[in-house]
Amino acid sequence: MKEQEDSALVALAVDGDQRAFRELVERHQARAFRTALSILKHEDQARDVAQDAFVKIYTKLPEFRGQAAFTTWLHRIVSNLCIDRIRKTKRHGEVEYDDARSHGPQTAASGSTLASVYLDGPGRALERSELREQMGRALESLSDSHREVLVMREVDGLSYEELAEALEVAKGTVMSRLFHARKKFMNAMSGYLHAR
Amino acid sequence: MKTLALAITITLLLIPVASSAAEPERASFDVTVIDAKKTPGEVDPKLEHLKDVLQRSFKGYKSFRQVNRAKFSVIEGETHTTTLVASQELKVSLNPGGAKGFLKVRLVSGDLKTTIDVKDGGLFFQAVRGPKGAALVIAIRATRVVKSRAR
Amino acid sequence: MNCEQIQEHIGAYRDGELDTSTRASVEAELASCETCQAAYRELEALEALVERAVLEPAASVELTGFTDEVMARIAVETSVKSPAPERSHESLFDRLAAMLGLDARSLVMAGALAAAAIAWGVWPAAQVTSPTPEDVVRAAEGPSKSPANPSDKVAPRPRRGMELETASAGRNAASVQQVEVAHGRVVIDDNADDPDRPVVVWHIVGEEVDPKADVSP
Repeated sequence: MKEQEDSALVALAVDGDQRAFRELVERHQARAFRTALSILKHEDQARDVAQDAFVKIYTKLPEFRGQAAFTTWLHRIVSNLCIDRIRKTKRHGEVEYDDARSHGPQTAASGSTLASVYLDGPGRALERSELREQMGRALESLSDSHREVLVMREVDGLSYEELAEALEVAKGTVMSRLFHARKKFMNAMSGYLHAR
Repeated sequence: MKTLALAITITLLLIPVASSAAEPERASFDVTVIDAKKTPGEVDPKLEHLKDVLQRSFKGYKSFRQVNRAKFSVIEGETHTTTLVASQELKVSLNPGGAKGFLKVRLVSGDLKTTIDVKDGGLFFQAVRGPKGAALVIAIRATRVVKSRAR
Repeated sequence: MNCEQIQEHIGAYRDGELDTSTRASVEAELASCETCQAAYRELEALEALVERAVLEPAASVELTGFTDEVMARIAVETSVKSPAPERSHESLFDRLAAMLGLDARSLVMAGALAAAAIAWGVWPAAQVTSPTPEDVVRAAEGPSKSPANPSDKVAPRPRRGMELETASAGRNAASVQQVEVAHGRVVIDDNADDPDRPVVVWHIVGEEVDPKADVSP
């Protein structure tokens, strides 16, 4: 079944076509949920925030002028809502890891790599939700553009060409952004896992 | 009367938007080909991403070696051919008619033809078992991709 | 390319995104360079982590009712002046009904009527998955079991009475629809013993042994 492009559905939805908006939700809910699940600890939180994102998108539809792909816009909204949520829990007294652990030099010096703490080390035995909690922190420490290219590649499985289109950059930029994003994420992650 | 009017409204909400051409369904596939044996051995380090599910789904098998891996996108109506091992190919197509949140995937490999409804982001296995118990396992993950160029 | 440049390409190599000649250079370097091998292993670790923490669990979650809930929230939030409280004893269903000026039972019946209408082909239904008779019955009778008190047992998911999807693949991430084979046999291991693990479609050639008997511990 051929379907309309997201941008066409958005245009219809802005004009009040609820069916069009509904179609957007159906089409993108799995992806929104997966994105949220890469940052949030619990599955029901991820579902809630994914829904929050669509509600927010509905109110912001008129602002979507098509500067970026709809999926990129959706990703950003989901991701920002998730980050807000974990920052709130942080403020309420959760243990703050030493900020230095999230940066490159310290972990590199201590010799812990993601492979050493996760594949060969105790990280593998952690519960999925624990891993997600650490992932959330690690992703939060990334810049928006690093976080989005990383999640869209690793969680959504987009090819470099698809990423280039979605993010409106050259393929070479995708490769280099992804390289840096992965490096930062892995350093942060191995730092957090190492600390446990 | 109000109930009927409401029923009409609800029905309209339930019917998906009538389409008028444009973007076909598209999915990205991650296909890993694994040589699995029952003789003692190890899990290929390249298979870390599948280690847990392989060990749970193929309990009698002790060694897993990655033979090939390919990632590609398929547009509805098209077929992508990927090599499994030297002489064997797998043809992957995306068919219309999948239920919401599912992708209708058609696989043709040798004389085996399968149609499977896979959840968006879901993983499944196809395995060929020959004599002596060795198996060629194909792990397939399918994820919906929506090309949403906002022009 | 020097080693550092190669390292920047290892991710793209693993992602299958390099052209033939660059790929060959990276492969050659990987064969002999330990730092590069370590970098490759890091990417493996990253992927394994994402697989386990996100992809596997996401694939086994059913997002049933997701869309209906979103639409219900939007309906409430766009018509009610004061922001809806996050947690409320009233179900969304009740609030939607209240907002539309009906009692919940009428809403349910309307939904059932809608479901029936589609089943009978009254509305253009070509693009809707036709509900099975069971679905229509479920839509018609499910929530009306407690007519006196709509908020009890009907809450909190308004999708009951409006759900038209035919039975999905259940908890499996995949459900086999059709198999054709010219020789050998096909056995489908749909993980009755371990519902979270993926489906395996076995093609047995050249022997008579039942694969399940062999693969169980």
